[in-house]
Amino acid sequence: MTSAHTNDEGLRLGLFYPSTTGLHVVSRTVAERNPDAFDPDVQIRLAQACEEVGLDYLFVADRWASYGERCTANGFQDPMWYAPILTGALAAATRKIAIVTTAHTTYHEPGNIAAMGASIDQLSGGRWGINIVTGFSPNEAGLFGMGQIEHDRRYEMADDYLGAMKHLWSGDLTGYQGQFYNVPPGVGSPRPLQREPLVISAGASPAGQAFAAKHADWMFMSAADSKEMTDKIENVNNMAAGFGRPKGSIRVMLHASLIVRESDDEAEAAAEEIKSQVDLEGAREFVSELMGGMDTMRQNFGSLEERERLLRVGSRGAARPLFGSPRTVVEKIVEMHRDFNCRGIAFSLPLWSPEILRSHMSDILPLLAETGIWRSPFDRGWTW
Amino acid sequence: MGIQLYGKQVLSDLTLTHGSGGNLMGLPLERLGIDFIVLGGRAPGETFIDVSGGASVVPVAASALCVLAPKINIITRLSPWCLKPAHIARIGANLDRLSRGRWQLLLDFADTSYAAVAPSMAELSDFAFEVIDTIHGHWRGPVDHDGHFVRSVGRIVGPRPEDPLPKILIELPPEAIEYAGALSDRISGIVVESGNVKSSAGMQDLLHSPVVVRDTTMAANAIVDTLALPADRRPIAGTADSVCDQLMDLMAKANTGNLVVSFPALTTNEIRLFAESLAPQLRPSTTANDIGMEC
Repeated sequence: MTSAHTNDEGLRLGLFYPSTTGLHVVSRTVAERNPDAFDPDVQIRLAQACEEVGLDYLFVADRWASYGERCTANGFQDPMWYAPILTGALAAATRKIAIVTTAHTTYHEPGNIAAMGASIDQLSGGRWGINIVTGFSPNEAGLFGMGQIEHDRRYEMADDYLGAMKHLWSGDLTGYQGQFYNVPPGVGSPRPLQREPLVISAGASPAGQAFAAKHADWMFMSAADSKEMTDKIENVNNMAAGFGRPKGSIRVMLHASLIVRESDDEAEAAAEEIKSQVDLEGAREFVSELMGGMDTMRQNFGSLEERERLLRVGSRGAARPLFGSPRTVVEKIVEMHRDFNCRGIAFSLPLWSPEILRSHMSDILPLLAETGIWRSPFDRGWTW
Repeated sequence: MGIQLYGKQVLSDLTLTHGSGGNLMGLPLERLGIDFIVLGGRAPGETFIDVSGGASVVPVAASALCVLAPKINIITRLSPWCLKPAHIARIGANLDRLSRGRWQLLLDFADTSYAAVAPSMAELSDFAFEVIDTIHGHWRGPVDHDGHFVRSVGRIVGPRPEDPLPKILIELPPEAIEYAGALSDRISGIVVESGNVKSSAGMQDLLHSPVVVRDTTMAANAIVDTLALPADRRPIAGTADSVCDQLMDLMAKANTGNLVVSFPALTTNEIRLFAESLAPQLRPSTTANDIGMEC
């Protein structure tokens, strides 16, 4: 099965994959309630559960260096599976679900990611997509003997990087000469099974939006209200038209944190309990680096009182809350689809296991199907 | 005793799965009792930069095999020219964890790409020291290495490899073998091509021999003639029995019980002939060796 790009109005659901001990909650206490993320059997069972319940994709994040000692002590995104390796394994263990690998353009040669990605695409039968990040952490650059590269320049490099990568994937052996990257004549890469694997990006800055307009199929976005989101997506799609891309080429993806209980009160209480277990010092390290490196974080959380900011970001990152009974959660998803033009949701589970995932999805997906905004991929096919 | 797949063969193996990892060649090899698989050899004349070298195909193939094949040991040949030590260290730590300690690293310093970075054999040796020390450093914790060839500062995120640390094998150009002894406290062995056995540095070498196995010697030789390979990479060719005898002689000459064979003209039947005829005869001399290939 090759994942086709359909650009329909239907919703795609995926799991922000727990490739680490603590993915979005800075808390050792919470992390210890979850299974061992570094047990390969756990990872395989979770991926297979995602496929069996009818999720569309697994979204695997990546990070090269810790946010700081306290974050590491909490298991927060350190340790973390190297995304191309984990996604290779998950591709081998599944048959239908799409798999997204996060890759840092700044720290790899285009040929490396081109070949890794094409390999995963071949191995998976055309189910692979790439989430492009440029890397904003000074701790990461040093690992590769580099200094930190200025924000907008990283996106210029990423643009050139995608140019080189797509050139390699095209099978053209005439060479590529870019501003930052060269591919000598005669050098090629394995070719992906999909002609153009899916590209996701999340850059909210003008440079990040320009990059998305040129290359992305999906874009992670955040906005305070419906109007802001509509303006943002319209703006990016207008920019995309300037690159000759068809109207509506870029679809909005939102990140949401999912807690489902029988009643809204129980779900809110569970969310509050998780929030109360956030390690504030660890969260401070995390927030400090995010606020220093990401425009979106400054815009969304800069005005909050510090403790509230640490608790909120430390308990769910920048994710929207999807807390409630199954019916409430579905209502919130419908709102996101209707008011925020949201066509994709990558949800993270603060408390997760293959069994929790199955339970949540069996509660939510039948109700969501009734709304008509989502159809099971078992019925419509697995498409981007 | 193991089997090496060239980069091109690794890629074909992935390509032919068509979304079904269960078709990977490593699985039948495991069932046949092969001790280890080396992913990503370079065919004669290839460099890692060439498409068929598959420098970055190998880690993906290895990750798939780690979860699909529960027993076979996995060696990945990675290029220090294409990947930085931090990349290699993290790929390795992940594969080691994913395979539950069945993984080893083969660093290929023999690729002709080295000439641009380290023109002399002494410089190549210095480069190898820096690369290996930096990888080991990342497996243990923070690194602060500011060398002539490698600069890396900081700590990669975990997971760390299983304890003890994964073994590192290296391949050097024949003219640099004399430097291998100086690296002996850092590595578990070197790969020696069957055409260069005399150059062995005397460590626990992994003898690599390309082979062509056919039903008749004439058929095997006819295949070899079409390959147009340099003398030092010329495969041992013949029937299963004759190839076996020649391999045994080579292993005795190289004073090693560790053998990896590759198949430049690979056919499915060849793997079967190898497994049914050769493997049972060769295995007793290999599994007790301390290079760490035991299942």
